[in-house]
Amino acid sequence: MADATTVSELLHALWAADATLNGLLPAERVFTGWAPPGTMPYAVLSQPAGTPAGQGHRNRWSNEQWRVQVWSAGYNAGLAIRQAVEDCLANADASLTTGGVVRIRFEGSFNLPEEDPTATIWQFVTQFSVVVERPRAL
Amino acid sequence: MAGGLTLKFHDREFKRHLSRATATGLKRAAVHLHSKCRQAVSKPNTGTRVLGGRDARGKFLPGHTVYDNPSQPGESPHLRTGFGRSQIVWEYNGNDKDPAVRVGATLAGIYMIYLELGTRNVEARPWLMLTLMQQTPTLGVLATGGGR
Repeated sequence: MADATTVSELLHALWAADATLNGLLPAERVFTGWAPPGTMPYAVLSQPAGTPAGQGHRNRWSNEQWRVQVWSAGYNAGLAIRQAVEDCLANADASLTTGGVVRIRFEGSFNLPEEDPTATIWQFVTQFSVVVERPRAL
Repeated sequence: MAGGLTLKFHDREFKRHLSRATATGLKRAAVHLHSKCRQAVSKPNTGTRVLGGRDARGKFLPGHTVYDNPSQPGESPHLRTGFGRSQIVWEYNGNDKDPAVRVGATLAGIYMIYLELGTRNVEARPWLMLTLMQQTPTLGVLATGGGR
């Protein structure tokens, strides 16, 4: 796995490493947080919520909710990307270069038309629960 | 065996009681999440009315409202008319054997979901997932029959 110190870097790296997903939507068109309208399709990774980190004897852990939103001008093309996102990220376990362990679990997915009724743009949403376990700082 | 003890397990009644208790707990959790979601979108941005003044001929000009406290990206949406808040609802599937509840927005208030997720032109203003994550410990207690 490429050097990833954060969850968003890790998701990018997993995306880039998956030939099918990267073929449907190149990792360069995947943004973190929010992206102004651009050439479609494109995707945004966001973390709408997370619980405060818990702490054990050796590790600190947090449960984060991550969302992958794909905007596509075509329904079928977008659906194929959403399916590839699920196949790539659901149940993926990986480690960060800082020593942390990340467990990604699929929570759910849905799609809805974009708010402009004149456009034929669709938004495909996939929700993941991400548990991050980091070594406790001494 | 003389003087033995007979234990009778009313499994059907027990299962029915358990199902009802689960459904009640889930409903309590849903009501709690529903009110917390409504609370999350209640920060006011009701606006300040600005008078229009008069034109050169002394005729009154129409006034307008300045909404000077909008939500920032990442914050829950602020309240303007209260319509969006009124469209946040909860429902129960009515099946005591396989109970399920959900909290969300009605179709008329679909823009609350767009605010939650963000669109191509507007950054997300999460109110549902944020509240769910904040309330998860309480919801767990309520759903399992605690906190009475």
